[in-house]
Amino acid sequence: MVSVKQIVVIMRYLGLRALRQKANALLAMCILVCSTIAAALGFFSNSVQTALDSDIANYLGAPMVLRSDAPVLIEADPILAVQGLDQPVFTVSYTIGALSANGYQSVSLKAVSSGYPLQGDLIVQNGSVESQVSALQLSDGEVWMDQRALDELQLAIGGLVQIGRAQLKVAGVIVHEPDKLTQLQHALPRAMVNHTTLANTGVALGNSRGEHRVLLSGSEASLKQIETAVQARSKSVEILKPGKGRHPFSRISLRAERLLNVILVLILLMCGGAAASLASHTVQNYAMPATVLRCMGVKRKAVAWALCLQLIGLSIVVGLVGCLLAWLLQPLLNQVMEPHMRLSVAPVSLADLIAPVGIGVVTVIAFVVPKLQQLGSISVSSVLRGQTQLPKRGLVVISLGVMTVFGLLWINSDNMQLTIMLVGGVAAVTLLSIGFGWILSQISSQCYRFFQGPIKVAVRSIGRSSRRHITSLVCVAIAMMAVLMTVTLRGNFLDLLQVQMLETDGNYIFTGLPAEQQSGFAQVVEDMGAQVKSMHPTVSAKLISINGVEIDKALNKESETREETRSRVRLSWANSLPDNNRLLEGRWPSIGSNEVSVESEVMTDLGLSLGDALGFRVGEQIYTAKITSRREYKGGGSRMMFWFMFGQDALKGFEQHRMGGVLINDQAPLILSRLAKEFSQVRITNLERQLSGIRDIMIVITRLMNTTLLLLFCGALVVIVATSFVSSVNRDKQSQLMRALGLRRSQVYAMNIVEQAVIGLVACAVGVMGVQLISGALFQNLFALPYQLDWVRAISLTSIICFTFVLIGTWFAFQQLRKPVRLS
Amino acid sequence: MSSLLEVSSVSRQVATKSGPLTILKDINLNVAQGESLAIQGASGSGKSTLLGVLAGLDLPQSGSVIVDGIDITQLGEDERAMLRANQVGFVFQSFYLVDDLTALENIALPLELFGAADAKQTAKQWLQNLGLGERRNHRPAQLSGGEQQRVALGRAFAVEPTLLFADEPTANLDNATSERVLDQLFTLQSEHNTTMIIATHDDHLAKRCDRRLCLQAGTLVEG
Repeated sequence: MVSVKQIVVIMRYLGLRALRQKANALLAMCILVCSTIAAALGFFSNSVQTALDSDIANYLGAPMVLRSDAPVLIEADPILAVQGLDQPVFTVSYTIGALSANGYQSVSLKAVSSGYPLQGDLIVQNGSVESQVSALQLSDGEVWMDQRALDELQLAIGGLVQIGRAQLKVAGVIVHEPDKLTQLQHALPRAMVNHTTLANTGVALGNSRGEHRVLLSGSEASLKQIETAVQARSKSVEILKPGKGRHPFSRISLRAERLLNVILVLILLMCGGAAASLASHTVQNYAMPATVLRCMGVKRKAVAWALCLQLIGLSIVVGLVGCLLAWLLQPLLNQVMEPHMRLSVAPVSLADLIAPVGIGVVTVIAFVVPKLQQLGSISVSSVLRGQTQLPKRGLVVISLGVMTVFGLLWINSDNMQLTIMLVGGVAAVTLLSIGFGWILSQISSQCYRFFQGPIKVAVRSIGRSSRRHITSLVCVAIAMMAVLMTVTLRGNFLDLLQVQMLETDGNYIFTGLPAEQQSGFAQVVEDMGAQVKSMHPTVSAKLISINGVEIDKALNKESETREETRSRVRLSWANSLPDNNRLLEGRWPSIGSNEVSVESEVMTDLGLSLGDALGFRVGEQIYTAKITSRREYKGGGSRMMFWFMFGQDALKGFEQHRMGGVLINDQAPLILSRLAKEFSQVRITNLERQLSGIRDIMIVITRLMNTTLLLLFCGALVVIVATSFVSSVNRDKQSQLMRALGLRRSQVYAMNIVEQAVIGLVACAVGVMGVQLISGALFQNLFALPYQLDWVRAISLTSIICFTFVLIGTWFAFQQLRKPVRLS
Repeated sequence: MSSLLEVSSVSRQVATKSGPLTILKDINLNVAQGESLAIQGASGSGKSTLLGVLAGLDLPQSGSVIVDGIDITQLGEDERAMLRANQVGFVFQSFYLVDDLTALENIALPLELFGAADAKQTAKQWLQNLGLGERRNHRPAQLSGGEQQRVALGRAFAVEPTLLFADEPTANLDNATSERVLDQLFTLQSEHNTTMIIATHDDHLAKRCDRRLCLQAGTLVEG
């Protein structure tokens, strides 16, 4: 039995005093930085994610939206009887003709219940006043309409419009509607009524197909409960929320979350590396007290456990201090998001503390405890002879460490794929470091003869003590890999997203432009100082069969795509793959052939594979095409995408239209009015407000990435400091001896610099190789981004990291060389 | 006089790259209660290894080491630790005080570990007796070599061992300091009737012991 009393006495005597030792102080600092960053990032990302989700929810109209083509939920539905759920809002939209004394226009008629919108702004103009309203203010017999619809119908506020069998009074102009951006495909002008008015129109009767939405808000648990219940009941209900569903923000939110996870995991790995490099030194420091205690008759387990518990206790205390620092840091980090996002300092719950404190404890358990446990097996007589060589149980220690870290990362990231990739990357970097360490030692063993003086000693030293250099190599290489990967990821992510989302397709979209008017339209737009950003050919069709079998029979499961394609689908074509698409499988359809490329999610949903034949009804004709490729839509913004795309000239014989984006910076009312006059069939939708929302979200994400990158740099700095410290301690004896032999301080500095620089350069090279090895797969699988290493960036970072490594190493050398020479 | 320590046919080898190396070969030895024994030998002759085996820090490949009637080669690691806690004290050439503890704490540590009621008070008394009362709050780095070794003596004798092992206790000290330390060592040994085994290559020190043996080529011969 291990004596608890003995453990307590040892901890009491050696406890905090152990912090006087530099290695332990650095270990504590390393854990402190690790837990502070983890906690700060946790608090920060929680706040940002909450605010981001809230922003996204503003564009969805609610934190969670259920969408379907049939009214699957009614107000009295038992599913909705969940505690913590706010009063749900029901909306339904139909495409219907609106008639006035002076015109006719197809509109998207949307009926909303009184709480609409649950989140986000519904802005209606009445006269010259724009105000934020709710559907409560919409009386029976009244309708709010888009300016575009009113223009077409030549109506003003107070005018009468016939919709279905009801005559309605126009009570306001819709300036902004929260969930408009998620319905870009249905870019008809909007008319909004309440449910009573809808019933009076009679539109909902008969065979009209509407799009039904239930807007939900409430506690997280209640929303989760409803999500589960709805998914169990019907597969045809699409759930829209931040990070889920087909809407422009889902990928942004998901990517931001994954990015934070990647950065956090990288920081943990780096700090773990720093702890590992300090662990051996800490154990060496403990070897003598442990030996003395064992000579006194203390059992080996008691010695090992006392020292382990002492460090675990230290990590808990330091972890808590880290949490406190992180909490104090919150307002500063939140400031970064001003004025684009207002974040509040979140109250800290016990659950928030578990992760960062746990990180400190696990770091110690994974990297230090296994080594300390070896103290129990160390030969006392060897230590008394001055040999503190630990027993060789490297494989056990490494396996335990790797397993613990793997578990920690998995739990923390909740993503097995990410964990495997990063741990695999670190393993690859470690192996590369060992290989390069060996090569370096061989080269330096041969090359030292070509040098003179202290440089010769430094080069020879690299060759002789390759084992101790490998720890430095691994740690600095991991830091390099982490920094370079994150910087590249940040660059690629932001560049791609910004270019794709904000600049390509303009701030207005147009649909229904007859093909023969396309050049005239473009000319007018250009004459007015605006710019056509994109123009895609379209043919309107319905998907009716798969491999000759009627679609209803071909699909034995509920499919949201089938429901969508029943009403109408736009077919498009191009001579090559559009730049916002990526080919996952197969080849692009040939020119003029009956071949089609299908979007990946649609293929999965409809259970299609390459070679299947799809039957479309185009006008009165049937058109059959063979699937030649599966394609993915990149980016998550307002750029147009088509589920079914053909090769150039494939749909030549059908009635064609054009749709696309226009960038209008000035004089929008004038331009729109002229376009409406000259191209009466064209429908134009203003996306400016939505795009400005996306821009805000992009700024928030950019700042979030910059801030987390800064925290990652802090982690890298800790690794460099820890590694430099260990290197300097290892070099201490050699430096003392050199000085005793007559070398000047400056010459010893030169030795240090050469050693640090060589190790730093090799480590950075290994880090770059590590990035090259894993980033392609990581970027593709987690972020759907292409990976391309920017060599200028890589070389700059290598220089910075190397310089920092040399600088900090020199500082430690300065600390050592200040002291007089002692050879005892 | 009855034997406190009986060693029979002890051999110990260590593995080296070029095969096993015999350090101790068929060692036989009896040490009586209260006796002081010097084991001499050249550097690397195996003196420290023998001390380690006798104290139960290392196990021999063959033979028995009986301390106060108990064959410690048959005991497990924890039982040997317990035996050391109850009966054995150590003094080392390099003192091996715990750097982070003061002189007082270094002496109090073993006392507290094994449940002495007034460890600090006893440690203070030991420091006074050793003439280091004024230095009680100094850490090892702030003490001279002689003072450190005297603190180590206090630490070893404070737990009142019946068997004390000293490995080159004066090798790191100058002659005058050595003499003072040895005076205190032998006085304490005599006062407490402690059995003492000293490994040394110092003839002067060996002569002060009751008996001298020499370790040559792994075997003990009369000095």
